[in-house]
Amino acid sequence: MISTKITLPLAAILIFIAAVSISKPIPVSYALENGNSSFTIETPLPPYAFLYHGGNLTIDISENSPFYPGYGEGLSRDAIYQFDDVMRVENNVTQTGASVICVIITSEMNGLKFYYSNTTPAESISITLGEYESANIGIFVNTTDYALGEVSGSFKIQAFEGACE
Amino acid sequence: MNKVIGLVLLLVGMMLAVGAGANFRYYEAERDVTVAIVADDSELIDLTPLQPYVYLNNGKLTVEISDNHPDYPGHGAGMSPNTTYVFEEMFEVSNDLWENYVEDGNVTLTDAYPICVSISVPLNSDVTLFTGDYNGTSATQLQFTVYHGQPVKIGMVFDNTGASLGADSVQMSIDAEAGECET
Repeated sequence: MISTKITLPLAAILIFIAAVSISKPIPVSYALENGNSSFTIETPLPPYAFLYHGGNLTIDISENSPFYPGYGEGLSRDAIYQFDDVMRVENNVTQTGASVICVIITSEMNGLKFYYSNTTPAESISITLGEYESANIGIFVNTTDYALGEVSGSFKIQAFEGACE
Repeated sequence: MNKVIGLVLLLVGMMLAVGAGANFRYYEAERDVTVAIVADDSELIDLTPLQPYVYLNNGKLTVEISDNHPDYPGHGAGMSPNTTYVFEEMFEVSNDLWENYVEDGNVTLTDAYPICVSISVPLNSDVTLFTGDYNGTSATQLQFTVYHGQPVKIGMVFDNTGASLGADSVQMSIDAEAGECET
């Protein structure tokens, strides 16, 4: 009897939680386009960025890029480059189900920074995107301290519901 | 009773599973970057030596008219004072940006993606620059448009008037912007 008394309110709470989650609008996302297209915030804008083997976005400025035209093998030392419109981030409401999202892009590579429109390149940038709003992201590369050869690194793209702080 | 609770838990579990799948909360992706660091004469905006006085020092274009040049032939160790030297076609600047490659028909249009290049040496330096053939004028600042496949040749003037014996050096800086130069 004692155990039932405890479990009954517990069941009530659980049902209440379930009820709350049901009462919310539940967006259902499903892909109508290409079979392997999973939900991503970012889209490459070639030639310097592309979908690696049709999968994840990759920035590659070397002869290994599928967009390498046979000239311009890379970047040189001790120089600063800015490439406008390397990728696009978008709040595709059909996929996010959020009217406003905050996208944060953070460099994890020495000398790599990001910018959009006329903002000053920074190691971490944040952009608030409304419904179906998008922003073209540029990359800034400072090759000071780079030696000849291949340099690799990464960056992180994060997004969450609501405006950026 | 236990059965009922079990059923409720199962329902809650299903609700949570559905909720987590459909409601956008957080997105995180890790993406790769690869950059090839190459010598000045093979990068996107090439600087290619054309004269023996110019070479690539660990990939960087360097003008060296002294016996410090790695390919110094053993004669002609430098320039003399109170003399003006004009060197045409010391190096060239070319536009090898990938944007020039037009996918349509695999053709490269020379006017696809021009760049406006500025080269400067410090004001009041004894070195001045010019493009193409020397016509008597040179400047510490140059600005010119470079189209793909049409490199622009840079010449240098060394005015050693009043210079004393010894070594002198200046730093040249190069800047390129997308688009044709505004005239």
